[in-house]
Amino acid sequence: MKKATWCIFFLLLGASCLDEPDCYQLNNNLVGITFRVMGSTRVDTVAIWGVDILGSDSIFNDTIRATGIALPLNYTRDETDITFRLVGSTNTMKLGYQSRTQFVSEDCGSRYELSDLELLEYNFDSARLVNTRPGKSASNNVEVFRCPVPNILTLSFRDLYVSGTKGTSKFGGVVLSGINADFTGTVFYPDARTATVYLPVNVAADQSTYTFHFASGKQAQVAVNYTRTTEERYAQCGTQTFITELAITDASFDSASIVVGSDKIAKTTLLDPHEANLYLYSCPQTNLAKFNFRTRTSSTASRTDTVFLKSVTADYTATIFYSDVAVTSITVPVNPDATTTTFTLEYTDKTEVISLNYTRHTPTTLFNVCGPQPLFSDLVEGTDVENVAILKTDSLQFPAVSNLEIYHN
Amino acid sequence: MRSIIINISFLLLLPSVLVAQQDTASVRNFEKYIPTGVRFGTDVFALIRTGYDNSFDGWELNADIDFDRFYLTVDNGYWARDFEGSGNVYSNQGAYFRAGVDVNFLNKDPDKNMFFLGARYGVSLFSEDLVIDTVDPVWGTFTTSYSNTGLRGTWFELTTGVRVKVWKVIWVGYTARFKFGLSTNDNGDMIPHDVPGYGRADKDSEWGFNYQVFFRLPVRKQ
Repeated sequence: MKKATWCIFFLLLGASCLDEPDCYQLNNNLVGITFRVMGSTRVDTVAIWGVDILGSDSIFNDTIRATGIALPLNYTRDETDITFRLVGSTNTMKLGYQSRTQFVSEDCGSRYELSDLELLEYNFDSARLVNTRPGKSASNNVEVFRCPVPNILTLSFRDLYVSGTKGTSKFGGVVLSGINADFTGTVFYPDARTATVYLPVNVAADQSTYTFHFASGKQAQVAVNYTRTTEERYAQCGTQTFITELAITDASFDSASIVVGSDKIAKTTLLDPHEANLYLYSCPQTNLAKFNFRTRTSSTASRTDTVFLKSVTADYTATIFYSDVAVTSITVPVNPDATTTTFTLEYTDKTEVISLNYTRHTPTTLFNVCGPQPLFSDLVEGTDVENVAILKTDSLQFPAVSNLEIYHN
Repeated sequence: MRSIIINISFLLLLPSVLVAQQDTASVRNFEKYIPTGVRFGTDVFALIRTGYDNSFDGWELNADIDFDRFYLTVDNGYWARDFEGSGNVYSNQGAYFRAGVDVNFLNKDPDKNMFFLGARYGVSLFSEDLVIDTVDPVWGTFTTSYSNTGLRGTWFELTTGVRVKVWKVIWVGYTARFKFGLSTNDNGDMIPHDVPGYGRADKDSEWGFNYQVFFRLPVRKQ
C-alpha cells in the first residue's frame, strides 16, 4: 500500500512536468458572425459570393448559403475591415480588439491572444456584439440583422404516395416553365426545377392569384386571401406591410392546404426567415416502372452501369421520355389502359426493345382527392430478352421502385 | 501592633515574590525563541543547470534563522532565459525574492537537522524581449519586436524539504516547492512567458526543486 502510494505520487509529479503545450491553433483570432432577421428567433440563411478582409487576399471566394461564418481577424493589428459580398448587397463591418502576444515554446513559437472585441462600424441594417472574446474555433461573437421581408408566400410541392397502408406525402420536385401572379407582369421561376417556390403577395390588395405553368404543358392555379397590417415595427426598416390570416380561396392542384406546424399551429402568417405556408399536392402516378442499368463484373456479380440514351419511347404515346442523357436508371410509365407496353431504348450504337406484360387491376381509391386509380402487378417480359431480368418487385409502386434490370457488358 | 505591621508588610511583599517567580518561567519560555544560528546557502542545482543548459543562466542564495521550531527563511535569486525556434527569439532576465516560514518537525534534534513544511511569498522583478518572424498564409510575412520592461510578478509557495548536517558547520538538503497564485502587472502588447523564480506564466501552478548547501553560523549556545 505504501509503495503504491509512492508510485501514484511520482506518477502525478511526472504528469505535472509534462507541460509542453499543444502547438495546434494557438491564436484565438476567429470571429463568428451569425446572420439573423429582425423579429425572428431563427437564424437567417444568406447566399454569400465572397468575403474580403483588408490586409489579405480574398479570404473566402466561393458561393455558399450559410447561417453564419467564421473569419480570421488580423492579429498584427487592432482593427479588421471585412467586406461581405452577399447576393443583392455588399456590406461592410469594422471590428476592433486588443491583440497581445505570448511566447509559447521553441517548438510552437508565439501565440496571439485577442480580446475586448468591439463593433466599430457596419452598414448592415443592424448588428450587435454578443461575445467580446474571439475563439480558436467558430463561435458566435457578432449577430447581424437584416430587415424582414414580410410579404413572401412560401409554397412547397408534395407528392402523395402510399407507405405501407398509410397515405402520406413527401417533397416533390417539379419542372416549371414559369409562374405568373395577377398583380405583376414578372414571370417567376422561368424554366426552373424546384420543390419550393417563394412568391411575393400583392401588398396593395387582400388577395393574390398565381398561375403555375409546368414544363409538361400542364397548368394549375392557386388563389389566396389575407389580412394586411402596415406599420413601422423596426426603425431601420421603415413602414412595412405584414401579412396574417392567410387562407386558400381557390386551388386547381390535386390538393392544397395551409401547412400546420409540429406545434399544431397553421402557418397563416408570412414570416422571415421564410417557412412553408402552403402545400400543393400531386396525386401519385401508379403506372411508373423503373429500369436499372447494370454491367456484369463476373458470372455472378454486377455493378451499376451508366449508359447514354438518345431516346426512350413507348408504343402507346408519342412522348419521348428521355433524350440525349446519361443515366443509371430510368422511370417510365406503362400504358394505363392496356396490359402490355413496348419500350424502345435507343443508345448511340444500338436499339433495344423491351416488351412488358402486366396485370391491370380494377381502379382503387387511394386518396379521396385523386379518385379511383388503376394498380399494376405481375410484370413479365412479353418477349424474352437475354440481358433483361424482371426483379422480385414485379408490381408497380409509388414512388417507383426498381422493377427490371438491363445488363450490358 | 507589631505583628500586624509584619503581617501587612508580608501581604504587601507577597505579590512581588509571585511576579518574580512568573518572570523566571517567562524568561525561560522566551529564551527558546532566541535564535541559535543563521544558515546561509546556495542552490547547487541552479549553478549546475547554468553550466549545462544554454537556455538558462541563474543562481540562488538562501538564508534561514531559527526561532525554536520556526525558521524565518529568505531567498534571493536571478535567472535569465533564452529561447530560439520557430522564427521566434525570446529572452528574459530578472531577480526574485522569497520570504516565509518553515516549521521544523525534528526540533529536538541536537544537530539541527530538519524535516520541514513551510510557506513562501515570492516577488520577481524582470523584463522580456521577443522577436517574431511570422509566415502566415492569410496575413503574409512579417517581423515584429516586443519588449516588456518593469514587470513584477508575485506568487505563493508551499514547501517541504530536509536539511542534514554533514560536517561541523555544513548542512545539505533539498527544498521542493509547489508554486501557485501567480499575478503579474503586464498590460502591454506582450503577455509574460517566463517569470524568474516562478516559471511558465501561462500555468496556474508550477513545481520547483532546489538542492542546497548551507553554512551555519551559531550565534549562541542552545
